[in-house]
Amino acid sequence: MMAFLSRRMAWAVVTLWLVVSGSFVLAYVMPASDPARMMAGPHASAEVVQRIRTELYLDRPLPEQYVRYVGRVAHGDLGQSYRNKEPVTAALARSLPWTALIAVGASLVQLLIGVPIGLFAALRRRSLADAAAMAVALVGISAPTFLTGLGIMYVFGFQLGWFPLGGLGDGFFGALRSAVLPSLTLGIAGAAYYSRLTRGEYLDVASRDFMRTARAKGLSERLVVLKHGMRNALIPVVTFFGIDLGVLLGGAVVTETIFAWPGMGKLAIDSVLQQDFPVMLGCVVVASAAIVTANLVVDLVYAWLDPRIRLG
Amino acid sequence: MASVALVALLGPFLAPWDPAVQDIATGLDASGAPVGPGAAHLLGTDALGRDVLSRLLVGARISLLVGFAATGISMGIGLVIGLVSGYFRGIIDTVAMRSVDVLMSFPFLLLCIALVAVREPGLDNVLLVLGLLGWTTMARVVRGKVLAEREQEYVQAARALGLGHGRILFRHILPNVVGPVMVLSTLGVASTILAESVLSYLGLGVPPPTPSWGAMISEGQAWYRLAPGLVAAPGLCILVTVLGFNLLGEGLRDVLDPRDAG
Repeated sequence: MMAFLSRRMAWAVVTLWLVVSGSFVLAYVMPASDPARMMAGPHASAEVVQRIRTELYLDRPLPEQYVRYVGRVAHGDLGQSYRNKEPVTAALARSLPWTALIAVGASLVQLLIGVPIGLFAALRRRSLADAAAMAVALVGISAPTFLTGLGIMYVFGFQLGWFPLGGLGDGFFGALRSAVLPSLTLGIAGAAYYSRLTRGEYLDVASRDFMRTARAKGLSERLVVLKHGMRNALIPVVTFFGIDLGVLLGGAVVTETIFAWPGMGKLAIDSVLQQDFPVMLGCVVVASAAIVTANLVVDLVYAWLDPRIRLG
Repeated sequence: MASVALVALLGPFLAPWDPAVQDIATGLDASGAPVGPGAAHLLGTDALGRDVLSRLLVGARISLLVGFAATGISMGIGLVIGLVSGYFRGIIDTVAMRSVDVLMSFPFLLLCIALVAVREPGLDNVLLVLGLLGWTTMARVVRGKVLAEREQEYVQAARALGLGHGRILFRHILPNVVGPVMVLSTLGVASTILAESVLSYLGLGVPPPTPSWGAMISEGQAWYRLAPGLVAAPGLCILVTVLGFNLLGEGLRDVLDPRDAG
């Protein structure tokens, strides 16, 4: 187990280094416009632009810039905003908790709506209810997040007036209330996907010998389904739940834009529209680090559950 | 799907109005708000007095163009990497699969947004970014299939006959992995159309006044309380198109691999 653990953690570190290197290319090699000019503003003199270029080491050779960049990121310094000179880490620290809040909400939506619908469909395989549930799920997967979000906002925010149309509410309960619609929007496509995944996994498990044995032992159908069937069917679902973080963070960009939610997704898209590359890259690096960590945790949990992986 | 493709092909000829023309005379009401469906504008107008139906018809071309072209690029890259990686294994396989791991460690949509933003928004950049980033799943799936195929007797027989690697890969192994490639490509068109609509919605797709469904939703969002059709019409177009490709992909999967039919 220790060898597997070290191997897997070493690969996570290498992946993070490659992610940071990729983000360096994105920030310093690819941009069509001059970062010093963007930071100085369109009316700044050539001297000011040159001074900023020197301050940011943009006049140094690329390999030197790369070493400085990786060194800074390794020390937790993601640079400062071109727009307001605020450290990127401060902007991320302010916005991350709000993204985490709706990500948790979305995960609850995915698991509490998606999994039961999947089980319901699997237990009524090839019935009208199964077909209807899977058809609705396919529509949920095919709908763009912004359409789902605007639809939810129109019905629950505008027509029924149950929740605020956007922004962050005051106080703890105000914030929770305003997080409901963004969470629902972010989680609904995932819920559709999980319902299909759960149905497939349960149908696979349902035909296994241990299910027949459980029934032959005289266990109640409820116990067979929940304790033996779902417990096994949920393993791949939970695994995917960890891997799915990237999709969730991508969806957060759109959801937070629709609901003017002050999270990392909104920060990312605002920085893109303002050409504030350090902030944008900070979002990419932090999101990637979260994905690498989630994948590592999933692999370790899987290895702990299944000896064939850690010994293989 | 055929009707959507037909609309994409013939959209500019079917459109009753020029999609960029602002109809100041009848396209806006007295208060300057968009008009609803009527004889002059069958689906009404947008906030600038442009004909919604015409913009939808012409916008179909952008969605399908990006969907097919970007998926073609990404599936081509994924197919070649998957074939070579699974067939030769060793260092090529390790490098290819670790590259897939690294690319999958980036949040796909956020990376697309960042790349399009640093290279200037526009149709060609959207197409390239979606094409160059979307190959990972295809590479993984094809590699898995090739790993199984390369141990089959027909491959060993081809090797024994002295056939070259290229011929074995492309003439003998490729036809046996074409099933999942077709399924993934069809589903890939659906997800690429979705990604393009998101980029357009965020203002990073084709520049105005060229119509695209995602941008139409973004423009209509400010009017969604008074004129929900401005959001609903392009939204339904995206939904129906993506749903169609997803259904086609699933149908293909059921036909090509009945074990997955469920």
